Parts: sequence; C-alpha cells; structure tokens
Amino acid sequence: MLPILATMAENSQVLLNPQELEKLMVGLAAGDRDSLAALYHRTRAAVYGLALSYLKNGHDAQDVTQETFVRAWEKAGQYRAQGKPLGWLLAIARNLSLMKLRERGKIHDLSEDQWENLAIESSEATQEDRQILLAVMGQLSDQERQIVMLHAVAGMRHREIASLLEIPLSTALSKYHRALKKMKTALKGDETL
Amino acid sequence: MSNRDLETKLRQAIHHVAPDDLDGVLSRCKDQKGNVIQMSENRSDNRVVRPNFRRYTPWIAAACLMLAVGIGFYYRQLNAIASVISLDVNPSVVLSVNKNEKVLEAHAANGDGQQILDGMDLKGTQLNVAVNAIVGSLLKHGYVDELANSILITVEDDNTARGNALEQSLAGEVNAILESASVHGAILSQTVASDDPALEEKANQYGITVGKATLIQSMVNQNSQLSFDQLAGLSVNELNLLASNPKNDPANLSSTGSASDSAYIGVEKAKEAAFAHAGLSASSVTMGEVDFDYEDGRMAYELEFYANGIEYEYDIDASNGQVIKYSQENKGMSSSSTAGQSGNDIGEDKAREAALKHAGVSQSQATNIVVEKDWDDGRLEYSVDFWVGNVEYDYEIDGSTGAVLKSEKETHASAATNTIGVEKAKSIALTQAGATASQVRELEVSTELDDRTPHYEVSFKWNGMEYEYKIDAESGAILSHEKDWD
Repeated sequence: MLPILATMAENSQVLLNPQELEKLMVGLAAGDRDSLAALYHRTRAAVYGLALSYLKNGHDAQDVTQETFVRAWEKAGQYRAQGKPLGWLLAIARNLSLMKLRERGKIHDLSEDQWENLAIESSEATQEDRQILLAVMGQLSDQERQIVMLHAVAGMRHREIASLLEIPLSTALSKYHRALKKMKTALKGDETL
Repeated sequence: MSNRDLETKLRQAIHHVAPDDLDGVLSRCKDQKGNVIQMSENRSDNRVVRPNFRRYTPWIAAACLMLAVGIGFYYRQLNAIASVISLDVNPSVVLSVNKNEKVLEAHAANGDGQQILDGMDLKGTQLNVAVNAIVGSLLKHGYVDELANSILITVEDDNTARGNALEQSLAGEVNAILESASVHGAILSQTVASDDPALEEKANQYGITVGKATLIQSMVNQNSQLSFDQLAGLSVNELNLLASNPKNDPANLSSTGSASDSAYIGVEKAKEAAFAHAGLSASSVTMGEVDFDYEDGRMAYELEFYANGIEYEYDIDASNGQVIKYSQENKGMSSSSTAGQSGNDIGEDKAREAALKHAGVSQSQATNIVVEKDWDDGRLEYSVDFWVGNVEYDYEIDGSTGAVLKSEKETHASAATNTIGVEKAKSIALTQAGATASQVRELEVSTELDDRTPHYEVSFKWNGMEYEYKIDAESGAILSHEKDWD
C-alpha cells in the first residue's frame, strides 16, 4: 500500500505544479481549448473537493465545478501571473459555492446512505474511499472540512488556506490538526481512555 | 496511520468520486479566438456598426466595388466603438475607444470629472496616452493621494477576452503611473458586458458610471444590509475599504494594493474606543476580525473580540471613534466573570494538570506538552496534547471547571522519542526569524512525531508578516520555512 500512496503523492505534486498550471493559464487566456482540457484534468479533483466541502452535495459540487472552469475560461485574461493559478481557480470555486449556498437558502446535508451511494456511483470508488469520505463529511465541522480538502487534495499551504478562507494562520493550522485527529479516530476507532 | 497517509487516501478518494465532466465544460465555453471581425454577429446595442458582407456577395468579384466596400468597412471600423473605459475616483471620466485602442470620445460623468478633463483634447489619442493624462490630472488636482488612493477601472466590452486583456493592461499602466508619483495606489478593475439596461438605468438615475454601479450592485448582492442608495454617494476609496470586508466581497473584481484608511482614526484607536466602552483592558481581550463597515450612514470599523467568556461586536465611527452600536453575547461562561479569576478560566497550568492526572502520567514523564486555549461551541476549552514514549495523548478540558470533556490515547508503531521538545522548536524558529517570544503574536506549535519525518510545525505573526516553520523533531534542523505578508 505504501509505495502506491507515495506514487500518488508524487503524481499530485506533478499535477498541481504551479509552473505547469501557469502555462495552461496562458493557453486559456489565448483561447486554447486543449489548455482548458489539461487544466481540467489536473485540477478538477481539487475544485470538486473544495466545492463538496462547502456544499455537502455531490450534484451541486459537480455544478459548481463545471461553472468554475467555464468562468476560468471566460476570465483567464484577468488572471495575473503570481505563481498561484490554483489559488485563483479555487477562489472562483469558493465564491461560486457560497453563491450556491445562498441560492439554496439552507444546506442540504447528505445522509450517510446518500454518501455511500454517491461513492458507489463512481466505479473507481473503493470501500476505503467510502470510509474516508464518511469520516470527512460526518465528523468534521464545515471549516475543518474545507481546510482538509484545501491542504490534502489541493495541496495548498496553510498560509495560503488562511488567506483564502480569511482566517488566522494559527486557526488554519490548529483546525487542520484537529480535523486529522478526528478522522483518524473515526477510521480506526482509537482507544478511548 | 500517519497524517501523510491519511491525506493521500483522502486525495485518492476525491479523485475517484470527482466526476469527469470535461465535455460539459467544453460545451459551455464559447470560442475565445474571436478578436477578428465576426461577420454574422448582431450586436444588441447600437454603438458598434459592423458591415454585413453577405449583402455584397454577388458583387464580390467586382474589383471596384470591393475596393469601395473595403474603404467603407475600414472607415466604419475606425469609428466603431469597441470598448468603453471608465475611470472612477470621485471624479468619473469615460473613454470610448475603437479596436485599435484609439480614443473616439472622452466625456466627464460628473462635475469633478469635468475639472479633470478641462482643457484636454483626448480625441484621436491612444488609450494609454489618454489614461496617462487623466491619472496625471487626478494626481495634480489632489483626487488621488495617500488619504484616498483608490481608482476603479471598468472595461465595458462584449468581447470578454479583449476586455479582460485591456483591463489588465490598464491596471498595470495606472499602477505604474501612481508608483512613479510615489503614491501607493489601490486599483480595482473589472470587465463587464456592455448591455445591461437595468444597471445603465440605475447608473443614470444616480449620476454615476456603469462601472461604479456594477461594483455597488455586486456588493449589495453580497450583503443584504447594504443598499445601492447608501453606497452610490461614496467615493471609490470608501467602496474599496468596504469591499475588503469579506461580507461584501464583490464578484469578478480584481484588486491590487490596499485602500488607504489614513483619513480615519485607525484600527488601534477604534479598538481603544471599543475596549473603553466595554470596560476592558487590551490585555484581557482576544481579538477577532476587524473590518470596515457602513453603518448608520457612516464609515465604521466593525470589531469582534472576546473576553471573559463574552463575545463582543462593536461598530465604531471611523471618523471620530464614537460607538455607533454594540452587542455582547455570553458564550456559556458566568456573566459575572472577570478577567484573571481562576474560577472562570482555570488557566493553562490547571488544564495541563487535569489532563496529566486523568492519564495517570506525571509531568516529568510527559514530553512535548502543548496546551492551547480555544473556543468550541461557545465554550472555553483547553486542548492538551502530550506524548509518553510513542503514545500520544489528546485531551479537551473544560476551561471553566477543569472537567475532562474528551480524552484520546493513540499508540504509534513508529514515533520519534528522542525529541528536542516543543520549547526548543519554538526557539529555533524564532531565532531564525530574528524575533523573541514576547514580540510575536499567535505563536502556535503542533507536534507531528508520528510522521515519516517527525517534526514540529511552528507558526507566528511578527512585524506584519506570518511565519511558518517545519522543524525536525530529532535534529532541530529547519526542514522548511515560509513567510508572507500578514
């Protein structure tokens, strides 16, 4: 298991490499659809994960993910190269998620059953995936979930997360560690004193 | 399971369940390579006149007519408005340009704008030259300075790609002009479609540009407590200060630089006014967010802070420090509590003792003890983490009673045991930054002793910067460090 995990981590670093994403942003601004497709494949999980952490609803997260890339296509000319293309993309996703929440008026949480179904809908999802998602969606507060998604899935640094979510760095760090502990407890059923 | 393994598994799970919807995305993305003339495009507004070549198809072979069409087309292209650019400060100036960015018309959108344009004939000049002249005039007439440094640039263009490119180049241009005048400017910029009749009507009604109306409408959409009517009379610098409040965050607005608040009393004076009103000393208060707000027809500092189990919210008049409104909410502590009384806040030492006692561990046995004060569900709590060998203990202690709210114990198969300790890790990070513990704020440390590379994460704020360090738990080496503007 460990070598596979290590490979995935490396792949993730390659996929979300800021220099590579920056080149794709240049392509987007020039109206190049291949750049959009490449950007989508590299970052869709990060965008979807963040949207999911806000919306707690797979269909809404899918809508926001699609809208995020459409907006990115339309607004690519506004992007100013600062080496943070993923942060720019995720800021769009965050704003769209907040708008969606306001539209909905209230949050439609998924029940455990629905979560399992959502995971099952994907042919690639494993039993372990389902357990992880249940822990993330069921055990964490909204902000803890957002922080975990941004760090673990989008590979953002804690201070970038603090900036995106407009919270102090210390809060981002402590909530992150607290969230991981909660997840471990949920997954392993740690010994309680 | 280490943190890294957990992160990787989560990443893998999201990759598996995230739908691949590229076709859906591509089907909604219109071709952006449309900067060449669109032969069949019908504009909804009447400002752009584009030739319809189909009319001339039967005659296209006739060289003389083709020449005539060519000349006519060229003439009309030169006189067709491609983009409308507005510059708003308090004076507002609007420039209409053709596709070659040559100014076809310049007009003032308000009285102050007339003063800015006075005597300047910008028709026929290149856009960048015109913008240079206008910003120069704004500086000369004292409309942009250190007290009010914000400029709003709006590009109205139906061709989004062209509009965005123009917006970006103008923002850079204006920034460079302000820098050369030694003014720390704050530039807001946006690109909007040119056919929103409702917004144009509103802009006409209030005598402001479509650009300023777009910004205001966007903020009103975000925060229902704001009204268009109130904001229409504000300057762009005031709007920029309000836009920095996350509650008002306008969509589709790019921003560089910080709006000046030098015309106001400043955050520290606002804090003093609020603390004095609440009867608190600065040392007894934990600060939350401080943002600009518009309250009771006035620019205000909106402050959140906590003390003695009570959450306070104040709106302080940004011009004179007067308390506009305030509220306080008891977050579960005794309302008669006062700062420093051990009965209300047991303090870090008592929280640590309570956790160690519950675990049956003496202080000398425990290593890497980290105690953090926290608010959770409106209750004061202490989080106490410590290690004994390769066993990690994690406690949550009620901050007012010392009761154990939660306890966890995890035995790690591999964990660093010969560690430098939390205090040493803090000291290494502070030394590298050139700071001392008493100088910094929000000093935090977390222990990651079960990681593949056991380490401490140390973070703090100092001198306007945020610092983040990873320190090797056994060697004390700095594995990584970052700093960024606070």
